[in-house]
Amino acid sequence: MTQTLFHPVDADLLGFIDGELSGEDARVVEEHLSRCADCQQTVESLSASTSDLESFLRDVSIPRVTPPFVTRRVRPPQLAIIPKSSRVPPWYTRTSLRAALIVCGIGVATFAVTPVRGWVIDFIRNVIQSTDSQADSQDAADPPTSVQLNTSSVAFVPDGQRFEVFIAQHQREGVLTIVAVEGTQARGSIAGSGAADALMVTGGGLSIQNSPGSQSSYNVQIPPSVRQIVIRISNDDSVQIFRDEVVREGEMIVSLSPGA
Amino acid sequence: MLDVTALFHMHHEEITRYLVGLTGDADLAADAAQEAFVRLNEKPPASQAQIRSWLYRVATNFAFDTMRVATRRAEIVAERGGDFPMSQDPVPDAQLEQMERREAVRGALKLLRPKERAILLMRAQGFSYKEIAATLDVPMNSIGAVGARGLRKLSAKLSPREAQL
Repeated sequence: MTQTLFHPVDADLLGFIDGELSGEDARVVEEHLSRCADCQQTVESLSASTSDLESFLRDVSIPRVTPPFVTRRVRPPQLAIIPKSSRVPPWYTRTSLRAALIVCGIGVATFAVTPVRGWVIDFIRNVIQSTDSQADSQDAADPPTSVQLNTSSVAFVPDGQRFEVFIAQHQREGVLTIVAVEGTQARGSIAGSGAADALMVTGGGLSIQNSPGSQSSYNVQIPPSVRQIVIRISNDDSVQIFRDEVVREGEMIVSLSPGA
Repeated sequence: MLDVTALFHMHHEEITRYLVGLTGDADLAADAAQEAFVRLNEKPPASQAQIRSWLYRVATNFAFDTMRVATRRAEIVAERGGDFPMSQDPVPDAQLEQMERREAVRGALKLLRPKERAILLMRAQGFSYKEIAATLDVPMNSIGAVGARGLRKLSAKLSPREAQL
């Protein structure tokens, strides 16, 4: 504590004003103040400034704020951790789902306990049977059309074998392929000419494409070295070729011989 | 169980007043006060004996941290003449001098250091030196000296002639 002969420091004067000095220190300052006008003025100045501060704090306008203002900032994270699966759908969604379940239940029960079930089964059976009969009648009305090779016109010329292919009118699309086989491995060539839907002469033979309703004929020339041809039918039409031999879908090897 | 609502009603307004004087920014003061009560709600102090000082400490630290970061914002506030929300009630002519006095205090507070402002404002709010020292984390024996220095500055600004005496 400052000696009485000296002025108390401002901290002591402020402590005296605020009642923060001990009993002895407060007594010394009080005694000094009773005799020192300067220190009295300092105390008044400090007190006035303190009053100004207190007045200032009182006049600060504080907006009305309620506790929910605080709790609102705390609650959103708590809401955010609610799992989505526990959220209840709106009332109209719940009502619609319940109504749909009831209707489905009534339908299933009615089907199980009434003659309606027999009617439905009979109806399905009739539909299946009628479909099968229509398919059978279609097959009967559309018999396989023969692609006939008119063997009577087959003539062998000195430079090779030649015959005429006659394709009667038929209804199903298919491909008749004639491939020359020279020996058992090598393949020769067959040349053809005439009207046809499509006649393709390849390196190994020729290909005749038939379309429904077509009727055509053309000549097939086979080199003399060819002793066998392979007849390949791509559809299920039966083909009569070389007298009474019949080729159905698949392949048939025909041996050729001069004068046959 | 801590009754945050009751504590809010009890202390929110005075803390906000203190923060307005401390920061000079009404928005920052509101944020700091709110932050103090949010933390009180989330992580209350172990000891509930000094709730008021704890709230002041949290709010003061928040305000100081924010002011340090947002230096530019403080400059803008200072440039536009502060942001003290004073009462808007009609004031008779007789109180005009008092209003001018408050405006002078507002300007004088800007001249103080943050610690000086905090000490003087807490002191004006009725805190003891011990509570101020604990709240602001400053030595107790420096409260009087720092406070007196701050008051001298205020007095020099508010009453220049008296200060010279």
